[in-house]
Amino acid sequence: MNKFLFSLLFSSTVFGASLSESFPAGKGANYSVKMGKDVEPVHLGLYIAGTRVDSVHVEYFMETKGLLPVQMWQQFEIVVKEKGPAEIKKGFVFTKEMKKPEIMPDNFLKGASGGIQMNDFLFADKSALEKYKIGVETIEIAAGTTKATHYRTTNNGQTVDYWISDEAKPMGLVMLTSKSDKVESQNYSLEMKSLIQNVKPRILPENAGPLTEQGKKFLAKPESMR
Amino acid sequence: MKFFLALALIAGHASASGLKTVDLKGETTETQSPTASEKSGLTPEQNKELMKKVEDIKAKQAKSAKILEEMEKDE
Repeated sequence: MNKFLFSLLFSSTVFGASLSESFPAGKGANYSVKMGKDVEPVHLGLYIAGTRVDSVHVEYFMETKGLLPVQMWQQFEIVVKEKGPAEIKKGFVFTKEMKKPEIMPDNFLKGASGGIQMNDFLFADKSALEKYKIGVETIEIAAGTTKATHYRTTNNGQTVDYWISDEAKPMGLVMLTSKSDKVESQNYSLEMKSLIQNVKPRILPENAGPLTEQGKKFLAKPESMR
Repeated sequence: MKFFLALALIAGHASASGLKTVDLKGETTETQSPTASEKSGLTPEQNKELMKKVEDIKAKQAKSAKILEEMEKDE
């Protein structure tokens, strides 16, 4: 789950307008995420915590129900470049079990290797996405009906279909399915439940401290520690 | 005409794009969490009020602890 999340980046064409205009603070979307054979979906909130001149702070809120319910927030400072994929500069994690937010070291920011990461295809430059375009479709999702562009990309046995809609800005992503015969964790789907606005970020980076052993338990082990 | 206006107001959850929109009104995500509301049986508004009361109690506890600490120092 975590592997999937921190590689989720932007789809919009961001230059030509300032980042704060393209990514207004407090706006985002709620999603329902189904992982593999899990019956209970994970609730995911994805919203803009703030912007700087060349970077955007995106916060995730994840909530699982069941026997061991978890509420977790992660925030990432993402440097947005005019060309090429966006780059994660800093990451923070917080759960109610922690006294304060914790800083994710660089090796926790690199994401999962292998398969497809979202920043492989959600480029700032829309023309780079053209080769993956399937067509424009009207789709029905939990949030309503919307016209979205369907893209498909495959790599190493993983196929990702995703739909981007201008109506769902600033995130754009309205639906995604990932399938793989090789890696079980690459089987998941995501559907937008609603747009959200006026969200206050839970993590204030200036209050964050170093990652503790307790904090590590909530994060996927980076490749270097496996 | 009034009927249609009322309908439009009721459907106020829909955004300009037609997609459902939730306004968190400056709160963090947890206060609107469906799980928190479902677990307690409270509406999101009641949940928010309850959380505010909890925060107030915590603040008072912290204040009392500080006063006690100062009293102990004085002794």
